[in-house]
Amino acid sequence: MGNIMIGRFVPGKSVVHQLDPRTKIIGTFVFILLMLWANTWSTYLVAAIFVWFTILLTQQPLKMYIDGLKPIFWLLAFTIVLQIFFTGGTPVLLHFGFIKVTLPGVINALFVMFRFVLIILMSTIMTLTTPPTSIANALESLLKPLKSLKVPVAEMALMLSIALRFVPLLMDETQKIMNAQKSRGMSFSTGGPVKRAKAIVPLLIPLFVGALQRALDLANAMEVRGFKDAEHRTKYRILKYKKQDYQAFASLLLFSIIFFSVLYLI
Amino acid sequence: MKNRKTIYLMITTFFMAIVLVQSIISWLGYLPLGAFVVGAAPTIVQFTVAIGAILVGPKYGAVLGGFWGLTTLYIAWTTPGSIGSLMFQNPFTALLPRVAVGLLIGFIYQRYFKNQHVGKQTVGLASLGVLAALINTVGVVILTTIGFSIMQTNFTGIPTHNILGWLIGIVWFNGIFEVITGAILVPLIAGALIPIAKRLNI
Repeated sequence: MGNIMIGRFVPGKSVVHQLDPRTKIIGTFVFILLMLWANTWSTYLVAAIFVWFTILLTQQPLKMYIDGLKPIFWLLAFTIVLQIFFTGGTPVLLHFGFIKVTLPGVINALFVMFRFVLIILMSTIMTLTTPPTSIANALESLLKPLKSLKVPVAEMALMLSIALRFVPLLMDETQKIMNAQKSRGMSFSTGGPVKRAKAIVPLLIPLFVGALQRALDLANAMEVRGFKDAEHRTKYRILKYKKQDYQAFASLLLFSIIFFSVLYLI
Repeated sequence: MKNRKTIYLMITTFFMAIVLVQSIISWLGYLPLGAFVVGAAPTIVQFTVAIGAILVGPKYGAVLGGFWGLTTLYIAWTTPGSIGSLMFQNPFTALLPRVAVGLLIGFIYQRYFKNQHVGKQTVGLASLGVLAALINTVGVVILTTIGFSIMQTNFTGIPTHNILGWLIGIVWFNGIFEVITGAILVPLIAGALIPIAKRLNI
């Protein structure tokens, strides 16, 4: 269970690992925005080269990235089928009954596939090289302007980082509760909808009660250590842009310039 | 005197963590009806939000709902291709119904059911479960329809004209199961949690 979505962080000493988490979040965000713009073969090529270089810089085995793509294989296949069958236009390549496969449909499907694969690779680069707590810190720092609108940014970041910290623990706990209930003869995968809805109750109640108990313990522990509010909390790690962050921004800018010149000039 | 704010903050945080766990482990967040092929997967995360809102009130309930919305939005954008992601890439569809679930359930419970005795409260909690499912389903249907038919977009450029009816059908189909599940789950779980919370003086 530990290898899904969150907690995929792999410690390392590469250039990408050492970047400020804010740089990585901004970079990924800008990349995703640019990908929504991409609509020619050459733009996808430029983007693929950029992603390839970044992957090389992370010094992680390529297998990890391929593993990251595996869970979405079927979803991807589904999207491609949807694209191929629901895009109209001419010329028609194949024709069975009411289903028509058109050239624009196939091209669109390929574009959507490349777009998703590149976006997922880029966000995998971010999650592989950045611990979840740093992401929460970076979000707090990036959302600071919202403080003037009375949005409790510090509080939200604190909640997010604690929630992320306790996800693996709650997952283990779920597994334990499930095994305990199974050993009492509980079955989670048989019967009709009402029976299944009822079957999940003996799993959820201990999980919720455990979480409530932990929440109270943590609240007490925080108050004993003088916690008043998230706003005035001091930090152990203070985020600061360094030389390599400016270099990363420069290469992002260069990539954007090449991307747009390829998009509009070629 | 304990600082109530810290306790509410931490309870909300742990419910956020449960929402995350439910979003990651699909069999804990969705009812396995065996009909995934057509995209039918009734979610039960709104009941986590509803139960959280019952414990901590409308303000933190709304935060919890908003967090669920953000999680859905994040998953819709980073794991595209599923039917849900077609709808929830629209930030309004992902966020508004979920915030409404936390806000309204928290408000209604505090206003009408909090001080009732246990027998009456069970009926109230069951109706809150039904209401949570309805707010989410109706909200998602309305916003998806608006997003697809008026704005002509699902934010990704995927052609939408043939799939709106299908999507709405799936959402209603899921909605029916969610209403039934809500009526069962919320009174059972909240009924177990509320006495504990009262004993711990929350």
